[in-house]
Amino acid sequence: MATITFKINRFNPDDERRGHFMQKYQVEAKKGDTILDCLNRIKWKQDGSLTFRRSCRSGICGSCAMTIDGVNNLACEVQVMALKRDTITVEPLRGYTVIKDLVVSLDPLVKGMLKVKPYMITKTPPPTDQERLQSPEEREKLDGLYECILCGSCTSSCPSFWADKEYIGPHAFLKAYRFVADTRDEAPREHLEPLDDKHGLWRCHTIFNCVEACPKDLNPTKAISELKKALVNDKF
Amino acid sequence: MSTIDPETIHDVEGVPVHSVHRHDVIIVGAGLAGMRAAVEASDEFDVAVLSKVFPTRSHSGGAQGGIAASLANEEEDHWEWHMFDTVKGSDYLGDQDAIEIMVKEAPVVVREFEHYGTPFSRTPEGRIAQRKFGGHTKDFGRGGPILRACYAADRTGHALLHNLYEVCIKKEVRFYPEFYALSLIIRDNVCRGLVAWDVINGGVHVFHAKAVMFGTGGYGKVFEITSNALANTGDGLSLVLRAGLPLEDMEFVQFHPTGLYLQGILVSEAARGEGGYIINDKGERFMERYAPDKMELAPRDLVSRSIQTEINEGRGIGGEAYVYCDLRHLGEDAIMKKLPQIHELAWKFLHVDCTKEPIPIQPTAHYSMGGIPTNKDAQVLADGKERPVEGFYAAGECACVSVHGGNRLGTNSLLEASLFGRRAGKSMVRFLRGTREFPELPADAAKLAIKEIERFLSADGGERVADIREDLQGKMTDECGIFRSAEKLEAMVKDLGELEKRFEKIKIDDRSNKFNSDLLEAIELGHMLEFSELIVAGALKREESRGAHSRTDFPKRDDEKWLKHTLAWKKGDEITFDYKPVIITRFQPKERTY
Amino acid sequence: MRYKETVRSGGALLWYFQRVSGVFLAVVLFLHVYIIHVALKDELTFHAIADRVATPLWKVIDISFLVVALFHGLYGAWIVFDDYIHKPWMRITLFAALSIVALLALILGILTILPFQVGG
Ligand SMILES: Cc1cc2nc3c(=O)[nH]c(=O)nc-3n(C[C@H](O)[C@H](O)[C@H](O)COP(=O)(O)OP(=O)(O)OC[C@H]3O[C@@H](n4cnc5c(N)ncnc54)[C@H](O)[C@@H]3O)c2cc1C
Ligand code: FES
Repeated sequence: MATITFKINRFNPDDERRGHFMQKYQVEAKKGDTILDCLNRIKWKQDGSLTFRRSCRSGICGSCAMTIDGVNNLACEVQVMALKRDTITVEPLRGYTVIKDLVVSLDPLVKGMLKVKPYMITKTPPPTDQERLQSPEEREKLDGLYECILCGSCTSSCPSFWADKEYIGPHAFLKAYRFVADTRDEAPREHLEPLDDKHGLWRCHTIFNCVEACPKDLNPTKAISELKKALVNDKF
Repeated sequence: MSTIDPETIHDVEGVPVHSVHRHDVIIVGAGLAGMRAAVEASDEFDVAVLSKVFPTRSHSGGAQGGIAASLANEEEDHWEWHMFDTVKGSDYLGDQDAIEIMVKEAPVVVREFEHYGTPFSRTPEGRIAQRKFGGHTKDFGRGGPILRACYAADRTGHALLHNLYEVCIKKEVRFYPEFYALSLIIRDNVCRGLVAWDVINGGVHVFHAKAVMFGTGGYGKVFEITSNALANTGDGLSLVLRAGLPLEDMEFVQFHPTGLYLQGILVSEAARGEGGYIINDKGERFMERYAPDKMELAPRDLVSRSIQTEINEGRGIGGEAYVYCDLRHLGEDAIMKKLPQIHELAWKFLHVDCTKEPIPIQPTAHYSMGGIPTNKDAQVLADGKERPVEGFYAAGECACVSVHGGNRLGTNSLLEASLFGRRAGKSMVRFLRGTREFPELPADAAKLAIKEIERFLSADGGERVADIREDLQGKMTDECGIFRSAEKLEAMVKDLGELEKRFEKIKIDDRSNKFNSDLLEAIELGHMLEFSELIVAGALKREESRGAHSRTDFPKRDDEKWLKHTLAWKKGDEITFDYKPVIITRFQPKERTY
Repeated sequence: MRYKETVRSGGALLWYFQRVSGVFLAVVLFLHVYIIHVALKDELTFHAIADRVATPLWKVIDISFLVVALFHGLYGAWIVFDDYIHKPWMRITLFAALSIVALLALILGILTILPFQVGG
């Protein structure tokens, strides 16, 4: 048991004049508690107005991404004791419009994703009563690409996104590459073409923040460089 | 996209005109059931999906292990075998006509997912890979465990859910993310739409539709230790109750044997499917005493009861309420390749490296077999038996067809959600082809919903919502959990009465409209209290032990009296019951041993 | 298959050329260091260098160096502006300024390299 002070960056949309402000809460935390457990405890026992998204508690739904001591992460996956601090600062993800407290608008995430045609495109009809074949080696290419949970951590950490709110974003590039790399997709160009855009791939300056930020240890930067190669190859 | 017709709109009291929406089909829930139905119906009709969480945050994404289908990619398999296992698993309470449809169509549904782009794991020949799962066997139970669960590593639900979302985007399904359904509009047995709350901006919206479908998921959150998401509060069930419709078999709640100690987070059954052991304080693989043939791969209800018995009899690790799930003998390579997510979960939530240490586990509330009674075409039944409500459908965990009967087999529920979601879609298309007009929208459609919101937003008693909820979860676990008895259940009935009284005196800290999760938690608690009554009352009535429902005072299954489905209504404070026979076609009830 | 419309590009070719020019500049830089500090180590005099610069081959090398370096540097600067400057008039002004700098530097450079003669 330890008493931890949480400094939470809050914002109440009904009181915009006040703007963002820091509020402190004290929480008794024990071994095994995650940041989300503590936030829940604050909400349930001290201040019901504290607002954040959460659902699965197990790092798979992507609801609870936030900035914890300056690092983007899933609140439900961070062990409080592992941080080894008695004051922990929690802020909403940067770069997005804050709706309330730790809740941000996901519109840029969805918009970016919609641009890359985020679905498998096939031209030939599938075999009847059978699956399309794909060897385990071909399937392995999708590892590290399909696991994205759309939490928004990567795009929030990206300076290119801070500079350009129309930037398609690393999450969407990862999605695009998930289909470009899939042997079953028959129109990789349809995913690539929208990336060759003012707000697209070329805005990525290989800063690697997205790789740092991804709580699922995925590597959008690598996907981006593969996409750049694919696009350039396509031009010559 | 349909346009809004101002003539029908001005007469919804208390709701601004721009907050009335019209779609041919409104689906509540963006899990596998909801989105699969949307995919099916959106080719011909204007479909909107409404979900209280962003679509890909739905709990279907949490499913790890797999989706069952007798593809026979890895070894010989037949739908008849799958059917036998499902019937036996259900403890003969599953309706065999529905089960037959499910197991026959399963291969089609799974292959369709593959065609849509789901990144299934593959066999060396390039086919969809399959693994073993508890309760699935060869040759009508005579052979050993069978490779039947189709999987994408241990992220099957995630892969399927995101894939469906992608297909929905392709088909331009209209989403209303973060809209919370407040009430159904059903008059004269015709469903006319529903009322919902815009979570982000606040405000009551009316959705006017020719067909409404519920895919609102399960209700694990009424228990203290659960694998379910915080959003799994079973709202859809009590919305149906409030509309005067019955619920079926609510007493059947599945407890999964392997939840992470205290967190309840699921260690997928794949851990056992791939060969993991369960051991007690003495280091025994104690399943050999309870299910000598199938050992760890016996069905969930049996394994959960065995673990709970070990714990109750003091053989938990160090006498505590947990045992070990041991994977170490599988080797680091196999663990990292086939069970990466389990490794990650154990590490992140318990700081246990399962390649080196065993994982502390305890049974966790996992799945709700009961729900909204539907027929095989996913139409909701007004009397629970035959008569459908016009234009109202349900599928997935919130529905009860009933394919799971008293106990669901692992990997059958992703199947059920997608398969009956698909059937719901088809069935709505058939219905809509014959329906040209929107049903009339009553002027007071939103009245109850507005009242509910107003009541909570002005609540200023002394009770915290979270305190009541915690008490409810604790009591439900103790008194209506794995082992039940008349004494415990009667105590629970009383407790529920008290909790409801306390609920009348709640207070709310947040009185704003925008993203008010304090308000939503209060509404959710209202739902949980309401349908919990039916779980408890149903369990008290059912004087036998069957599937997941285990009465210490009636330890035997009683086919003479209880081979039937419970139907329960709530009228005011009264609960009324009715029963309907189980449909038995191919397999006559036998004793269920493993 | 190739793109039919070769010209429309959201920056693929520019991006690609930026990498190619980078490699080119690195090679030239290496050549420069090698020739000045290794090959000419002992006789590093004005004449030795002037002789070399006056040959037509070196004039070609130097002019391509000039063009590529200008492109690489100024396009690099433009990327930064592009990221952070959003007001249209500022962007136009900066773009014009960069273009003028490029043009002036190019003319000046060519004027220096082309007429260069030993002892002239
Ligand atoms: C941890 C875990 C692992 C599992 N593993 C497996 C497995 O390996 N194999 C298997 O077959 N099954 C598994 N299951 C079970 C299976 O995942 C679920 O039964 C199935 O996904 C349910 O799907 P659904 O579409 O019915 O509901 P869900 O996916 O739960 O979706 C419910 C939807 O309803 C919405 N909703 C609910 N209430 C409201 C409201 N009031 N207003 C608006 N929207 C609302 C939610 O936002 C959500 O979109 C697992 C379950 C859990 C908890
Ligand atoms: S709550 Fe789902 S990712 Fe944290």
